[in-house]
Amino acid sequence: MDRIKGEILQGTLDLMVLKVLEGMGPMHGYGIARRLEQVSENLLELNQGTLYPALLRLQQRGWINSKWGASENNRRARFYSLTKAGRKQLATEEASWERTSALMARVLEGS
Amino acid sequence: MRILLWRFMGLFRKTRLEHELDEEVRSHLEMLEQEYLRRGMSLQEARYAALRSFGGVDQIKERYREQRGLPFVDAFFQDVRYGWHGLLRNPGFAAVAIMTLALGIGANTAIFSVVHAVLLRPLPYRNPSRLVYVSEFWPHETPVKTVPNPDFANWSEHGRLFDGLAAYGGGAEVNLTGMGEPERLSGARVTADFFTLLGVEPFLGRSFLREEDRPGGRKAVLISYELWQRRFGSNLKVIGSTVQLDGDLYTIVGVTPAGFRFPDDDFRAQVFLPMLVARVADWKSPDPNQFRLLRALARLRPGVTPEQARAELTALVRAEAELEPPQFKRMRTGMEVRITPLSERLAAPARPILLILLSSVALLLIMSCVNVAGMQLARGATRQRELAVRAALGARRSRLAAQLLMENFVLLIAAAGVAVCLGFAGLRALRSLAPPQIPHLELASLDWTVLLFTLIVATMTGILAGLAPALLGSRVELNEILKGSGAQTGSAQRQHRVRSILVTSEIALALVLLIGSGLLTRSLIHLISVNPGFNTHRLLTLRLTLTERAYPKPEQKDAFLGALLVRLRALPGVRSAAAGSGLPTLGWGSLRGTDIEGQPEMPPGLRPDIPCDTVSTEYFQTLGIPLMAGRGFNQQDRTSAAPVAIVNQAFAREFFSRQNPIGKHVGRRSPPGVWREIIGVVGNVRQLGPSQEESPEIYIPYQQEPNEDVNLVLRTATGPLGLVAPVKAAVQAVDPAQPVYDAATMDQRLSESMAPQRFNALLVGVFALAALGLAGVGIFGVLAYSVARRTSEIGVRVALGASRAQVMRLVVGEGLRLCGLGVVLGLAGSVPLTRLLGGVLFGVGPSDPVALAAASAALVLVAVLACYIPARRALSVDPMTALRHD
Repeated sequence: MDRIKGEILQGTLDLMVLKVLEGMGPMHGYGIARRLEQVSENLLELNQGTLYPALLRLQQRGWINSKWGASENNRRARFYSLTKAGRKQLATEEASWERTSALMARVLEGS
Repeated sequence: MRILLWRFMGLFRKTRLEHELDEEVRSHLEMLEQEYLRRGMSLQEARYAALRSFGGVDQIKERYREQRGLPFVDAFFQDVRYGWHGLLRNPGFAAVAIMTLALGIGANTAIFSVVHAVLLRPLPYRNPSRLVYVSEFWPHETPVKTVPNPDFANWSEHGRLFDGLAAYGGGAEVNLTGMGEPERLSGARVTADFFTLLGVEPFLGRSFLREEDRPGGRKAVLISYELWQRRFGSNLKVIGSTVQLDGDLYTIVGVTPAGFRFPDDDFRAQVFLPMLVARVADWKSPDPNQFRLLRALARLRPGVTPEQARAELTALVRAEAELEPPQFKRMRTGMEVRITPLSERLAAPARPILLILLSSVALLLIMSCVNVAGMQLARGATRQRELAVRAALGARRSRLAAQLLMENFVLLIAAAGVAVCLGFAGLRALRSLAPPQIPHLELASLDWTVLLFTLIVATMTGILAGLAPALLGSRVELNEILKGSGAQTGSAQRQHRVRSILVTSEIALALVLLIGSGLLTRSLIHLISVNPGFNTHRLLTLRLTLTERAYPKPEQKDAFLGALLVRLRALPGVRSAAAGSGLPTLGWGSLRGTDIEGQPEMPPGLRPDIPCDTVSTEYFQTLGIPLMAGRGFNQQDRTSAAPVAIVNQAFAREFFSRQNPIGKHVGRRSPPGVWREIIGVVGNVRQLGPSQEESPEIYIPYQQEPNEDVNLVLRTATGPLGLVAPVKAAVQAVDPAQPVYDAATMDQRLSESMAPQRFNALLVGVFALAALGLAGVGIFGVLAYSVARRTSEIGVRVALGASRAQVMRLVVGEGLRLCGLGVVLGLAGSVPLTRLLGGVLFGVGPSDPVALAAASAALVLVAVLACYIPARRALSVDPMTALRHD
């Protein structure tokens, strides 16, 4: 399969980050990036740096929290975790996605 | 919303947040590096791979920053800081720009504070929007502003649409005696519910009771706060004490609050007396003493419109129409009731002049903007390169324009600050000029509304002044600028054209102001050169009133005046002395319905009203009024002798055009009126002041009809004011309880009568001068730039043999062209604007050719002067250096 390159929609990136944090618990930026690569089986090739504006946005929306802590190799790193509001948002977004994709599938099959 | 808050907070602690971001990015990169190392890359490769994987660090950081803060605010502060440094680097430009803007804004601040205080502020009464002034308009009579008391009584009783009706009037000038120096007090008569209607609580005591407002009721008086302070020593126990007014004892029942504003600027009341209009006065009561003309105020019920009230009052008048005496009904045919909101009535006299002033300062403001815009365009030319680089780096045009506009912010703040100071000073100056046509000028101050206005005006000015430079400056032709081909670029030409247009419009605006100023100045000159009809130099005037109470019999008045005049003539320094019931600039003694021999007899009420003055024997000599025919009054013209009169030329011309008036009779044909023989004709006097037309006048000897108003006039050998004290002493010597007031020289009075015109001419003149200066600076700027731009062209011309005159013509020609176009535009534009002046002009029309020509000439002169330095520079161009420079 061809890799999906380039920019992805802001919203989708946000959703993916939330999902990762749900699954992995508190994680720093690098970790989230790695996880995203893993899960998408390296289909997703994004500039890892673009995570940071997204993470800030999520914080501003109140869906994630951040805290400074020690990383695996004892470096200072910022860890992000999901908030209750974030969890709720994730559930809403997932439901919405499923509905949209089901709809799209039906439409594309039909025509 | 959360996001906004976050972003707002992100403006602060920037350094720390930067730090954290830095650290986070670094740690991410390190971890990436580790990963790649683990995969077997070398350190170098790992580092590159990490960076590649991450993406452009600076760009990411930039996007992060955009997300974090409020980019507009950041940009704004950045631009402002940049602008601030720019101004510091160019202090000359900064100073001139700030002063120019401050001039325009400051003038507006000062004028607006007056407009706000006089026209916009609500009146100091309860619910002032509901207060109205009620008057009647009788089309066949001279305009009355008043209401006959039978109507007032009718309305008070039957009117349903009012929450209250009150009346006031004059006739309350009284002599205060019995407590030290006697003083003449001005006052007003008011009905009992006058103060309640206005919603004004007396500072001490109370207002009148109904019983006190009836003829024969207890004599009660209210005094003003100022009088209470000055004559009663701010005594808090003054209520209940008595005071002697015109010989009668009155009880003080109240003191009006400080700053109380009487709702009529014709009155300057120090005391308030009850109206004493019997409420039962109506048409049925035949007593002429009961008939009065009142000024009426009313408070409309909530929801009632003036139109509805008008209809009700008219209907009520109609309902009682049959009861009116027939001659009265005739006078009132076609009568209208008029209802005017009180605020409108009080503001009306000041409105025309304030409108003129507002227009003038608005023009001035636009001119300042245009000037500064031009200056900024010139300055902007030097920044072309920097802006081009920014554009090349990706800045959008709107961003560049916004940047240029925002840099003005510092300029704006500074200009606004200086403007407030200028406005303050300007207001002080206005107050000291105290023009009579703007009442209550002392209320004007720089309060919050005015400051807010200043801020708004300053902002608009900043935008206006910055718009052209911003739009033009942001239009960067990258190729041209980066190649550096200098002054021949299209953008430079465009800039020059824009600046020329700006300057032309400035010239037009300046011309409008100059024309206005010229018209007003000519008005003033006309006024000053009007012949008043008498000799005005070294005349001292004072006034006194011989009250009925103190001088009940005419012989007593005559005796007093006789004794006084003897003493006055004996005073050293007094050349001659006389008295009259009227006086030039003060007005006539009275207006009387007069029968004239040879004219058809008229019924009462339709007789012509002729101004009458009773004068002492040496009145005409003292004033220097020439005797044209017949003789003046002498000692023989006493009460016992035949009744005589003297008329003026205007009277003779109007009523005896072909005949000799001497020997004819005027007055009242039937007793108790007096039928007087005309024994002389004197020259005309502008009794009401230079701006009013001459009118027919009749003079009667004081001895034959002693009047209570005695206006003394003395011709002095030296400065008249030095004799005020001796005159007062002489009066006191004849009657110690007689107050003398209003001492002034005739020159002072004449000057006062011209005060409005002088004020108008002065103020608009100042503005016009400022405008002229601005226009001159503007022209200079454009021409200087033009010469600088065309240095090489001039060099070529000189090299090809152009003479000095031809080079001069180049520069001056451009200047004159700009000026000429501006003058034409200005002349066209002045037509509608000078209409505004129509009401205040005297002796000149709005399109007076002399004023137009003078204004244009002044402007052309300034333009030529402005050409001087640029022309010199052009002449000093050395062709060799100029050509090499290119």
